[in-house]
Amino acid sequence: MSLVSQTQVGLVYQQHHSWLYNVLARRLNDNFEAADIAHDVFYKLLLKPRAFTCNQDTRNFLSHVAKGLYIDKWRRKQVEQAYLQSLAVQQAEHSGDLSSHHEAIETLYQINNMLCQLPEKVAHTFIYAQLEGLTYKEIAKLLSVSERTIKNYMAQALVKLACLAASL
Amino acid sequence: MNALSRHNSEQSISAPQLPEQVITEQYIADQAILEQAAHWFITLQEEPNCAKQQAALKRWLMSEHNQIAWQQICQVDKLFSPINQHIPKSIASQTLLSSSSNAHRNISRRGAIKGLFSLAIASVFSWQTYPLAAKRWQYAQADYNTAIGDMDDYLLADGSQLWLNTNSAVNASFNNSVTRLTLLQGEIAITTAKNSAKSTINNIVKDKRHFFVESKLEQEIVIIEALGTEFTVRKTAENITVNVQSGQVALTVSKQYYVINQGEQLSYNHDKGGLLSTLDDAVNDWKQGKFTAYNLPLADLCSELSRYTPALISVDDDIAQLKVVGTFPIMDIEQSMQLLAESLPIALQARTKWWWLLSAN
Repeated sequence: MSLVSQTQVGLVYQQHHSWLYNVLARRLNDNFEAADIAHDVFYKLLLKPRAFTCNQDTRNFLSHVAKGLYIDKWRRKQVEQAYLQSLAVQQAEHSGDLSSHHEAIETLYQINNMLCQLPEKVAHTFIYAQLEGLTYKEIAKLLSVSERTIKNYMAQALVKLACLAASL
Repeated sequence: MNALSRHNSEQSISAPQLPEQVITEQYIADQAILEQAAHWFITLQEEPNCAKQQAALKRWLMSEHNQIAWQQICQVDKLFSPINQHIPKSIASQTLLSSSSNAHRNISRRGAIKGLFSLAIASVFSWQTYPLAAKRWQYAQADYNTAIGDMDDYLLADGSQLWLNTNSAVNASFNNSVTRLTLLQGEIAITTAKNSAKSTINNIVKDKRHFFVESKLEQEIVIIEALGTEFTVRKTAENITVNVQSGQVALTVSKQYYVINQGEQLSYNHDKGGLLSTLDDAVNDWKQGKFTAYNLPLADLCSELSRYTPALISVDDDIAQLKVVGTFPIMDIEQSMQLLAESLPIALQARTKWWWLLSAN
């Protein structure tokens, strides 16, 4: 791959930005979000320029990055909603300021990204054990599987998360 | 070893993005040992004070490879330390349980397989896979709402009295001659203003105001009209139940029409239609903060009490059918649980703040 200058990224922007924006706006049905994501896509490209073989190659790449960004946003929204929901359900006495909520959501988003790489039951086992402090026997009962299975889930979670921690 | 500890000291939870697939070759080589280390971690967590296990672990840790693996496993706890610092554990665990559940991961699976077209599907899915959260959010925004374990009562603009039981949400709209409540979830009790009374809206004296409660059961709209009265409406996933303490209430759903008289209860369900029965005297006790059980199976009582607490109440099968008689303070689940434990041959265990366990004694 040849070195690509920022001027060339500018060229890509001129040629493809409105295409990308239009596709996103149509797909997402939200002009603001489309503009946001399109902007971020080119920002990413600017930080790490690369060469393209043809127009199709460019567009494939841009839509791939856009999709990744959209998924990130979507996941963050999921965590945010789940967080607000648990605050509401638990009528939390945790009435911190806006920025502390923002920080909490960010932290939980990062952790959720890791947990989402585990199968659901494995992730849940880990949460029950490490955050709720339940015993393996109790978790086994809660998830209706044997205690042995829970321990295997737990080992699976620890190994995977240890690998993630090491690669951070 | 050195390389590893350097790695760890650099680790930061606020790294902007986690790679999707991260097992590098270096760590694949260590998988088997990592697994062993994980099992040691589990054993130790189960029996933290067992001298025999500790000695065995020490022996296992003689090997440097094992040490590295052990350290790595122990690092996992660190990943979660930002939670301990800033976020109440119960909030964190509930958020993570919910957002790591399969229902909330759909987009990434679809996204991984499909091209940009998945964006279209995804944007639809983000609402469709999330109806529960969208609903909860909607409830929290309702005109009147209560959290789990709370109750509230209000004097409405038309002079009627409205009580909300635990975990309930209602929207209200008023105009000159009609009061319309929309029951989104939960249970409400209403005492309508006397018809002859002055309407407080615009100071216009009205001979008769109409009072409606509407609710949606799956896709059916249920309309309940009060005909000068005192009544309660409770909505569950499948049922709408109306109890009439005084006066009369009419319920319309699809093309069916029911009249419920004083002292009667109607339970409507899409499959079975409306079932009329005699009103249970204790049905309104929640307004006084109590629940009265008369020969109620323990499991049913606990499912009733669990409406008032976010905690999980589990009942072992072999005592689920025990019959219970008594009055329970619903605003104090801990006391209710103690009462149960004292009056029945059962054992009560509190596992964390969020789990009560009832088992045979």
